[in-house]
Amino acid sequence: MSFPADWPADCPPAQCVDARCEIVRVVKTIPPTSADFLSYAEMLKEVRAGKECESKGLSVFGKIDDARHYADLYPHVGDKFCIGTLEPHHGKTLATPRHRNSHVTWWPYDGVNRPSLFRAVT
Amino acid sequence: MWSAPNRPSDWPMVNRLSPVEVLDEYDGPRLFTILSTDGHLLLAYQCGEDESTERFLLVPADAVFVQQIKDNIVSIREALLSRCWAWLIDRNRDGTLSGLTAVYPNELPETALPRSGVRLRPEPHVFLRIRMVGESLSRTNVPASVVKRAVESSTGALRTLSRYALKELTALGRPTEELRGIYDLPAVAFEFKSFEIAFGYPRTEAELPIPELNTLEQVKTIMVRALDWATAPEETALPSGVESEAIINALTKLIPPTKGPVKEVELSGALVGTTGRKIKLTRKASERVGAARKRLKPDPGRRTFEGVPREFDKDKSSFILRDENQDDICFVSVPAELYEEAYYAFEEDLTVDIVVDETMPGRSGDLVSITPKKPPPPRS
Repeated sequence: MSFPADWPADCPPAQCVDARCEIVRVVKTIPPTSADFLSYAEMLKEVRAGKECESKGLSVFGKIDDARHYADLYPHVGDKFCIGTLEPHHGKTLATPRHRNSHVTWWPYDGVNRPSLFRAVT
Repeated sequence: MWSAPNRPSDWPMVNRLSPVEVLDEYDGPRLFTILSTDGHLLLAYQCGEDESTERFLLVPADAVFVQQIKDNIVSIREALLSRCWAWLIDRNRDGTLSGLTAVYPNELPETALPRSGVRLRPEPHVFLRIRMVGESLSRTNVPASVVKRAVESSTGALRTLSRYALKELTALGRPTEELRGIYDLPAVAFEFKSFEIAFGYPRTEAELPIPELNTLEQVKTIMVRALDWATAPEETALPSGVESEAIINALTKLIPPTKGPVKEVELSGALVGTTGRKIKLTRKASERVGAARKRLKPDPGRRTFEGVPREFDKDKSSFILRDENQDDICFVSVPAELYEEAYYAFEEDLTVDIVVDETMPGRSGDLVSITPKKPPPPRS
């Protein structure tokens, strides 16, 4: 298990932990596809200076309520939700709350089939 | 990506979307301020994206405007719509910008703007948010009857469920202070896209005495059950007995009327379940509730009549039900939530079945339901 070779040397940051949590992701399609699990960097968006590592991670939430709130704030992101249980071999995570919410950044290991870990929230 | 209006603009002058302050991020900055090259502050809200571009709505900003968003005082949608003019701009993957276009924010597709009422942070203090939706409702057109309905349907439904929870179903007269304390909610926000009111908790949860807190929890449980039942794809059986009646009576106050400007009622807040949950009551729900209402076991003081509404008194919200010989059957008081149906039946000369709670046996009653039956015979 390793992270992609082109990631910065100190990425993910030292304070992140082995993934071991249940998380929710806002998606556009059910069942979710790999397009629903692309990071900012993987979408080849312009990365701000100093945010190179953060851009490799995915925004997920510990609570469905927070995911719903973001789907309401940015409807173009998606209006469906899926939940998955991450284990240490799926990558590393770090609590990165936005406005004291349950936002988590997930850095998946190379080769992890991300959509296969998730199921629809009904 | 949806197509933007074709109004090319050469202002604001922006070379890059470099955030001055990031207000919110989700897989990157989605709400942030920028400075135009000539030094003007703009708020950028990401309103769309596809495989090659991200689209942003730019609105003029100042420190007060930004602070109101950060302090959670205004909803993001309301903030964006408060600027009459705005601009769309596309950012390509290499960071270059293109397609600067002037827009009216309210002409954008629904998915390009935040949902109504949503603020930067969730609002744990909102106990119940009710939104009246209808094609004819807008910022400049909210009839007083709609405002009245929004207030009375919320408090009316809560009163019904609280009364049930407090085992006061048979209580008459002025509500006890305990009951009033639960349904007489403080309004904490208004919005005028459609029409929307947010109510806070009766008091802070820490201030509520245990019995009231328990009642409130019971009210929430029944409300969730009621809304689940009203919006389920297929109708299911209701709980038996008195709770069923409380549910139907509460829903009767919340559902949209079958006529008039309000076509849909949207509910959210702590009272309707988890934060972020939104319930839409449509006219289909109104039909379901109406049918269930007819099946309710009648109260001893409840009577059913057939006739035609006449002499509608708008000031006193009442009418006289008359038979085909134009003899009086019953003097009927109309609650706010049934006003539009009753007035419609009056205006259209419809023969109706009504259910009333009698206030004077055989003479007068409070309207419980009204169902059009058939057009009346022609007047002689």
